[in-house]
Amino acid sequence: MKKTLLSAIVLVAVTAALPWVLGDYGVNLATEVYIMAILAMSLGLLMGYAGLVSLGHAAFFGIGAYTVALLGPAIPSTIVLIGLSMVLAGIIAWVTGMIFIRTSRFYFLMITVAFGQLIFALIWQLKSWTGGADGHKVSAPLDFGFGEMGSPLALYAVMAVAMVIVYVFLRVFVNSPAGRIVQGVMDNENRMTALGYNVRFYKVLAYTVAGAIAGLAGSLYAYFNLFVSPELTGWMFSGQVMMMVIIGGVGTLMGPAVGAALFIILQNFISSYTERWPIILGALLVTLVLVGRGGIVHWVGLARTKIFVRQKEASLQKSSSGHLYGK
Amino acid sequence: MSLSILFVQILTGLAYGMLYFMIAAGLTIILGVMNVVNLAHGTFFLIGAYVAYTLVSKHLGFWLALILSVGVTAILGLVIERLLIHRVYGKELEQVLLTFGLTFMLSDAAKWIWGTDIQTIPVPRVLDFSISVGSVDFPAYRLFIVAVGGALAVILWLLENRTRIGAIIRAGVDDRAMVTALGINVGAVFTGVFAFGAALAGLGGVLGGPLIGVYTGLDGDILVTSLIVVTVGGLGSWKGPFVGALLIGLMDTLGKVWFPSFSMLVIFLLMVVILLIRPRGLFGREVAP
Amino acid sequence: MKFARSHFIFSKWKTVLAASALSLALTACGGTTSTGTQSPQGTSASSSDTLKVGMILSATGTFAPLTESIRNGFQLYLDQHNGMLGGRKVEIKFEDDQEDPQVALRKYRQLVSSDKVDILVGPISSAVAYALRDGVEKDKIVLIDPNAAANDLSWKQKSDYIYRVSFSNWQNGSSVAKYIAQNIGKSAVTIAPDYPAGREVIQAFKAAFEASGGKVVKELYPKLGTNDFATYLTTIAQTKPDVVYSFETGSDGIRFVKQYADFGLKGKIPLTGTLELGDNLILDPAGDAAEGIISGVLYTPWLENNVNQTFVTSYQKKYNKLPNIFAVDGYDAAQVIDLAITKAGSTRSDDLIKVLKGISFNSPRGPVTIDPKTNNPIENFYVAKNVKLDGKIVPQVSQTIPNVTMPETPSPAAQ
Repeated sequence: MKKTLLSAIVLVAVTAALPWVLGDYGVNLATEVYIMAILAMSLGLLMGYAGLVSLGHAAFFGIGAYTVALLGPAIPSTIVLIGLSMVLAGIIAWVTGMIFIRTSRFYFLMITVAFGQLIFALIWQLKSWTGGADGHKVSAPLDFGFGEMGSPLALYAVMAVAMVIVYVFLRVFVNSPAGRIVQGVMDNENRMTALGYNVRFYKVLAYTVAGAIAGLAGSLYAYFNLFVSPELTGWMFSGQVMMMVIIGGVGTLMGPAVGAALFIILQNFISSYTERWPIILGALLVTLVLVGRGGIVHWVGLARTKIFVRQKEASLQKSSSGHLYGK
Repeated sequence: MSLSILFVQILTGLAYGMLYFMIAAGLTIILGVMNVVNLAHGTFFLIGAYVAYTLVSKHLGFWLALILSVGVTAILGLVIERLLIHRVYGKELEQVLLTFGLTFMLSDAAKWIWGTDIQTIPVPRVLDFSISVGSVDFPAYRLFIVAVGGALAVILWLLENRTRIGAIIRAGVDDRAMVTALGINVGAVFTGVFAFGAALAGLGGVLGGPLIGVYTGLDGDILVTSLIVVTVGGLGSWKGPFVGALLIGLMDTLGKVWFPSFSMLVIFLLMVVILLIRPRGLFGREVAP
Repeated sequence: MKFARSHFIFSKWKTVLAASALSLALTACGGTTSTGTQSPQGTSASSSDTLKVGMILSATGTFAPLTESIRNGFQLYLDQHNGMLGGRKVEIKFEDDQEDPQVALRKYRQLVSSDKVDILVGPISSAVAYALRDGVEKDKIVLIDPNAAANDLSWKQKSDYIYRVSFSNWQNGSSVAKYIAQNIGKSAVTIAPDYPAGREVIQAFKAAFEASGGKVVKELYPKLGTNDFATYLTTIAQTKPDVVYSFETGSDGIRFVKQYADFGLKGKIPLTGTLELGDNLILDPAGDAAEGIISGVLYTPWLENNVNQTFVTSYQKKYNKLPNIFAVDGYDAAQVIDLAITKAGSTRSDDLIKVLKGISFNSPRGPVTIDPKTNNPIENFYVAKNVKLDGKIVPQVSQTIPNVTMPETPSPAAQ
């Protein structure tokens, strides 16, 4: 657990130092990046550790966000509301996960798209309750028992703490016996079955954990953004989160978070400077594939290897490509 | 609902189904044979339509424009496969990133070239009439699309079952290592398959132009539906996208009649139900790893 | 069992380096913002010689054509006034919200707290307008709305800082309802996309139409982005109303108009509709199929007034095509900012909102006054019929509906 502790300390130090160098808008953007990093890490758990590539993950984010938006007026406690978002997203993930993991590879990808679109359509259609296409305001105050936290810095701190907690939790989870079995199933499902493990249970477990964390990210986003709309659940958004994970590096925990930061910052800044941002962003993605070795985080590792430990280079190659089709 | 109205609805569903078939056929072949999820496939549809629009507005005539733009999309597919796609075989997540990036680039380039105004391709003059069906008219152009789709299904069936190329592709889906061992240039086959798939999407774009118009964002709209068609039908044969496309076309049309306020849900629910009964789609085969 | 994989070995170092990469990236983004901790409210107090205009419109997605027109119109006004509004050199910061309220909010925060714009123009989508509304009010920054038509922006969600220069769904739906009931037919089928604007337009039409003795016998709501209207067209053919009233925009509108002709309804049941059905954006691509449609328009390039003649000539010269209503809305957004700053002698939001209420200007569409009760324009609509002139379909105005004014509160029927 020493590694986990050290990583956490570094994360805390970096996040605590950031507001001193960022301006108002920078703090605001960083806050959003942390929330997206939580979401991307949860999808990273699915893709990189359980081999389940979902294109409907935003649905759980949306469920969390709408839980806060719709139940906020009725439930004053922030803790209860966030907890409820996670439980709700987790339960829905558990139920749908049991059904979806029957399909595999491409079909799993598509059935999760369908799930995301079903949630999207429900929110769109139940307009008397959700506001439909016009979206819905969030009026619940963020309050953990020591006053309302509405200022940008307070929000920043809350999201940073949440990200660190989620990171530590995921680190502990993937190193736990259950987490290792999940990875074992991804690497060789038949072997794990032969060894007597209930393979389906562990897949559903990973899907449920990822869903609940996405729900958490969604509920935090509602507090941050104060406005929710159906776009939060759509496949386009799911696709963007998947981009974050792939850009950052599949098979790592920190990679998706870095991918989220890069994706959001790039998209935001390129689109501010030029109207031709899709071409530039597209070209960047293509270049990344052509020169990349499985994500930014791996580059960092690679650079370090090149400089310090040449002989270990070989071991990096192993963790590059992804698992859309399983093994 | 009177019988003639039902008939019109079914014809409409068939016409749209055939358009989806043209795009989904390419998608499913590329996915089944090459194991590539081509998210840029909708963009070939868009570019085929835009090229045809330009040629028609230069008074080249619909039919010549049709042939030329299908050619252009085939060449575009060829170039993209040779330059980019062939570098990421076997790396599925890189394919997603690459083809997603390509969609961004190509559709923005299309916006740059053709602007944001919505365009339509005029219906060719010989088909610009309607046939009376009971109390309503039915446009002849839609029947033409149904006919083209039917002909395409026959051609794909012949290609798959009666030609050497078809045999190679079938064998490739089942066991790629075997095909390579037989000394067949799989690379060339793959390039051909990709270009052919792109050409089919381009054909769909040109034929769909008079029906659904050409506009920015069309590629995304069409991609999602055709991915659903592919999923419902299953990978690995022409049968999958054909039956899947007709089913989706009909359900989409009839869903509007039966469940007007939930029409957008119908095809997604259909997909979920089919996958629950048949996890590989209706005609899906086990695809080589 | 062997679970150790490369990333476990490197995880510690990677975490450290990745975290640094993250912080670097964030610092880079912070670097472009000013390091001061000035509050957003400070923005409206800037009195320098340049005027920073933040634009939030939708450049990608189905609204892209509208955005292009609005920007063209805005730029044309600037060109005609040496790039100045209210005597200040204008600097435009343009942001694409991709039709997504979430993206729009991020762009909004950037414009207000990082770019420190003085005034905002936008958005296209009503959902985005609702999303921005509370922030605009809190930050006290004036937003000139050149398109978002949601009724509630003038009613329950009205803000002292938001002024619409275009039109509301209520105006668009009710303008020609009386004319249709009196001159075309008493029984109508309506068709509009299944989203809030579609419902609002049809409610407004229905209330005005039935108040004039008409009766809406059927309301059809296809989903937004419908490819095929066959289902709805056959329903219309079976219902046999006197008239069809429709609100279909963009590519949906083109497909609807063409299919209305393809399925043989054109010439049998008169087609009427909102201003979109009399606008070039739909008329040019729809071609002959659009002939004969009667719509309540706010603008046509052939309107006879001095402002319009100059506007059309210079627009055509610059962009090589005819302007549409959205170009006029963009032009007027610039015009209203120009007048307000001149009149207030300041760019401070609180000075601007005093003069924006009740401000009048001469638009290419005719005289316009911003109603202080609703912050929505009082303006003329025109009954137009699409006719073929020199091989081109153009909307021909037959009658003026003067001073279409939004009520101060929703009428009971519209609830």
